[in-house]
Amino acid sequence: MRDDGDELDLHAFLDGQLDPCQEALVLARLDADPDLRARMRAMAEQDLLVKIAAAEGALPMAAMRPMHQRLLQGVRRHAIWRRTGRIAAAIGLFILGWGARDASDHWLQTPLPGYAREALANHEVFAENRPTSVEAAGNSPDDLRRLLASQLGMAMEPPQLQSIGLRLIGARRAVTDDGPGSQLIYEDRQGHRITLLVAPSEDEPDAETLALTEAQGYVIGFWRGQHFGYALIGREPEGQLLQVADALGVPRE
Amino acid sequence: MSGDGFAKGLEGHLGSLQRYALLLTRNRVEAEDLVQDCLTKAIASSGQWQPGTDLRAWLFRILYTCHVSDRRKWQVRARYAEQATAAESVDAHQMIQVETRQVLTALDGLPEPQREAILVIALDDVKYEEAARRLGVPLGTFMSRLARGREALRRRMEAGGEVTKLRLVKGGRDA
Repeated sequence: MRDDGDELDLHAFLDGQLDPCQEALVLARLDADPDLRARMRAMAEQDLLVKIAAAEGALPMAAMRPMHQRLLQGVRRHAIWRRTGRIAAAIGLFILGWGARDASDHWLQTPLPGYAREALANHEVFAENRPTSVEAAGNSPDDLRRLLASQLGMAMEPPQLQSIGLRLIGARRAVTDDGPGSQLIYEDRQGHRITLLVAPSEDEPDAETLALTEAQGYVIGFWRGQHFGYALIGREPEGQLLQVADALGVPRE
Repeated sequence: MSGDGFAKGLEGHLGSLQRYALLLTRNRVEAEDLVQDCLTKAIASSGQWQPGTDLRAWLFRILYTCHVSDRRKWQVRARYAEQATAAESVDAHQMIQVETRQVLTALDGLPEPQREAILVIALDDVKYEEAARRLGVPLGTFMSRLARGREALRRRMEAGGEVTKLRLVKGGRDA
């Protein structure tokens, strides 16, 4: 393959990166060269298949993990365990089984749990991108319930956060090391996105109250309930995330 | 999304559809026909699209389904003109599923930097500069990885696809 400007222009054409004059030049080359057209047809086909797979949640997460890991480099942990007397009933039907737990402020020493790592990666890839690709739209409650139930193995009601100005855009399937989960994507009036990821979690007893960390401009909140691990991802500063955690009734101190 | 909103959404993605159609077909007339076919089907099934989900990806799937149907017709005409009809061959959706699995398997075998470059563009309709920033590499490096990755993927598909590629199951010379 020639790795020169002409070759790169072909890919830039495929991705809509060229101006009309440059596009016309590429089209003229394609018209004049049947072999080149056949090669580009094959690339267009494979590119569409990858895009379709991405939109439909069919990409193996293992393939994306290295990209996700990059996001986690330089994770800065600064916050702290907190506790509150709030309980899961604060969010109605949503199942959150955490309980109050003695904990004192201290710097986090343990790595992010798997569900929080996946939440950060999924947020960057799926929540921050526009247009956002969701598998169940926020205004289709039946589809949302079906997706959550199929992923998590139990009936679950997606939290509604309109009271704090967050609209539920929709949900996607997610995959963690401990099993299938669900990513719920919210948006505030300024277009800022928040991810809530729910997934199975191995026993991590120190995570039953809210913990916060930061990574590359994102705030990561995570905790473990009776059945699942939960992670919140949003942009810095942490105020909005804490507001969401409070609305969900997450124990913190 | 209202009917007007849906129409505007279609209009917004028309350029992408036309660009892919130009590459998927043999000439501009066929490309226009493919886009027309795609838009007709999209409008007819607009009720199936869920507002809030990715309209672009939904349209790409329709475009690819139309393309697979056309491709199958070409194959039938070229190889088995007298014996077979399109209806006897494998369902287009089934074919897409198989091809998707093949391309993802081939993708998995690429060097990580090339796979990342392909994925970051597949996941979002971003400018190359933004994609390069996300991966933390210079623009030229990103473009080179993308081009090399796609070429490697094509070669893998070409090499591995012959044996397993879904093919007509009826109507062939031996049927």
